[in-house]
Amino acid sequence: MSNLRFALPSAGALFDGTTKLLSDCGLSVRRANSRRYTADIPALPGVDVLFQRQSDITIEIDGGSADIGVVGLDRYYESRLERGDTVLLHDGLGFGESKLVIAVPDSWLDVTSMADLADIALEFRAKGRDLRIASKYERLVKRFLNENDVNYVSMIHVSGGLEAAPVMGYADVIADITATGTTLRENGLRILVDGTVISSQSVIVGNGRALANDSEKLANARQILEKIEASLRARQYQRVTGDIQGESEDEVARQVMKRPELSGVDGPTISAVHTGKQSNWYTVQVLVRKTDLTEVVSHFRDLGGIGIAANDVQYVYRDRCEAYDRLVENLKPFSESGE
Amino acid sequence: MTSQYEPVKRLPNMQDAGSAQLAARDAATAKLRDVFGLRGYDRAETPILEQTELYIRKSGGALSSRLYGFSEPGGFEVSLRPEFTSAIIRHATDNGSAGGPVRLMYDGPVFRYASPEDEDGEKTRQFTQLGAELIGPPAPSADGEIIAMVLEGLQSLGFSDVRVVVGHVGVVLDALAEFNLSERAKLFLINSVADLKAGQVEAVSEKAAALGFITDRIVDDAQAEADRERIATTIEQVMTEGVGVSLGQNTGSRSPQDIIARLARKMSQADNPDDFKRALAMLSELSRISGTVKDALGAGRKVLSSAGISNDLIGNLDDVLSSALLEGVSDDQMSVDFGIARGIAYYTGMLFDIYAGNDSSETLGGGGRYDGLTRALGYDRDIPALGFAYNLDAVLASLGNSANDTADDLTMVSPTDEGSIESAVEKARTLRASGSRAAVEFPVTQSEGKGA
Repeated sequence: MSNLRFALPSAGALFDGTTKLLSDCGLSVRRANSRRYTADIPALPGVDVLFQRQSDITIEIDGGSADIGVVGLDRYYESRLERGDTVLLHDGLGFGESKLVIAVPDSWLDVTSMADLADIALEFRAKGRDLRIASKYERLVKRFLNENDVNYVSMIHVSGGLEAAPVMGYADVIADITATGTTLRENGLRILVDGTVISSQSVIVGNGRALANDSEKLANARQILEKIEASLRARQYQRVTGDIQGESEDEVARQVMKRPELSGVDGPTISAVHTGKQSNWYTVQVLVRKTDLTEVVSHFRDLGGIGIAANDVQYVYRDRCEAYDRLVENLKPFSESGE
Repeated sequence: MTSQYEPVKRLPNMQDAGSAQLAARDAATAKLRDVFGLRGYDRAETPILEQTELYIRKSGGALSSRLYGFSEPGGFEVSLRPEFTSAIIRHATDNGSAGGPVRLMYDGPVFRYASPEDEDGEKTRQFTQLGAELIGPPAPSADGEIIAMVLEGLQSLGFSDVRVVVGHVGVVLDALAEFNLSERAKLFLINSVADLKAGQVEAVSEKAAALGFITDRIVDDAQAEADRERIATTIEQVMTEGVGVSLGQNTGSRSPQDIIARLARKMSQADNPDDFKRALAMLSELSRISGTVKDALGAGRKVLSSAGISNDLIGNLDDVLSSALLEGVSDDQMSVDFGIARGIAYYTGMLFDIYAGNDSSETLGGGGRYDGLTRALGYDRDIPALGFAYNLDAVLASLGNSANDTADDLTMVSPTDEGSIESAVEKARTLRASGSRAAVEFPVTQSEGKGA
């Protein structure tokens, strides 16, 4: 039994997104100062936070030096040990959306697709050299190129500033992460129309063996997953309240329920307004999808509603936590046999 | 005491084989070698490790993305073999097979990687292939021999209900040739056959539009207009002021001449979108045709005719199937599927998948004709050739566990019973000399801790 070691990206878009997500979930991270690589979450005393480079997190979790972590899906696929101990616990945290793409110099007017690139690779081959591609994602990119018949390639490993590689002359084309494509464009590069290697966003991964064999770690992981799932779900909903006049609670309920699709996920909650005198006003509360908000308001108005207000909600729970159920399912191979 | 180390596990999707499994495989291998030997096939073996180049020349992305490739200590880029055909063809060509048909058979492990997210991600990454190649004779009569052999081999192993599903890349290629399309467009269409068979015409059309094959709505698009203008201006400037003017600061490792030359070539080969659409429509219908020989050939002819193409193109497939009948294959052992798409791109003629019973979920192997492979491998001529390979592991799994351990029972000689180690060793030796299996039952000491 020991603390859950929770690895978070130490910098970049994933750091910002994770910090915000956790604070939205009431799980704010407390860090003595920004140079410290350890921190904690006051709301979860059983959790130690470790700030790591994003590219290391999957490897740390595979190796067992961290238990769960936030990482980009692309990084996870690039660095994981296949069928090792690491399992995907949550497949989309809603930030860090990006694509790993193949980009060529914009001046290559004749190259728009992967088929063109395959052709160019053969052309290079005929001149006695390989097409050089710079990337930090060798595994994913190599396989993608092969799948698209781009076979004669050398992977050039570059640690920073990929966009400059074609100009500097140490690579011919690049495969890089982009969210909007702006940086690539500004550096005179163009994305091939069918050149998306993988679409990615931030996910949570965890060491299945560590979680399966430590109930305390598992309980803490569950708390984190429950909060995150409920918080992400809550973003899609709002609570609408309004006062509606009617002969009785039942009568108001009937009126509201005439439009079942607009009367809330679990039906309306109705309570009498007590004014001290005889009153036939009732407060109606419904939890609705944000996309339905305008229609719900119109529906309330049609029923003579007044004082209509809408509020964000912090968490929306279902009868089960899907991420946790999936986790339990994923842990089976680690707890059933000793292998 | 427990070990300070974790046990080292097998790689994902790699398996050990035990005695019963090996006995079954050996027996099947011996039987199949006999059957094919009677037809004149001789054995050949090629290295498990080859230059990666051998497999990527003509195999296509579906296979080259599955290679186990690495740099070997001598500086070569190498791969574990994913199939035998390329190496066997090289072997035959190197050994001067100009004289007449060469018949070769082979067996051994092959290696194909699949990621856990792939459709076949659960398959074993190392499996045993046993196959044969017939090098020299053109279609169609030799094709019948191969189809017949495939079925004979399996019947000799005890299968009563085996069949082949036959397609024909040549028919598809010939049909596409009628549409006046560029090589690039034809390749795109051929690679789309599997999707078209699955009814995903829309997805294929979308991709074709993204690649510029279908342009009906983009014609008025401002971006396309701007692109065309830029290209026209560039070419004009190149003509008047020399190259390197307006391609911008950076053409990377390619010269402006290279880019313009290839662009001009590409533009001169631009496909007529209407031709492309007609070809796509025809292929989409053709890919979805499957059924009995008679029905499917009839339906195929109809599709070709209504697309305005000579339906004689089906003739070669018809001849191939007839030559199999001549070899004694029965009608119900063959069916036709125009949508068979093999992940290996070197096939040029008929190709087939092998199944047991009505189960179409797992194929027991496959094969086909690849008349252009020798040239692709660097030889100065095309040699007609065809062949097939069983996935022997799948064959044995489908056959069920009927193989009994053929080894005789083992006699254990106990030193305690014999009075001494010396006399036990002596007795075991005597038993072996008379042909029995015998071993000394040495005392076993258990050390603490659990083993792997």
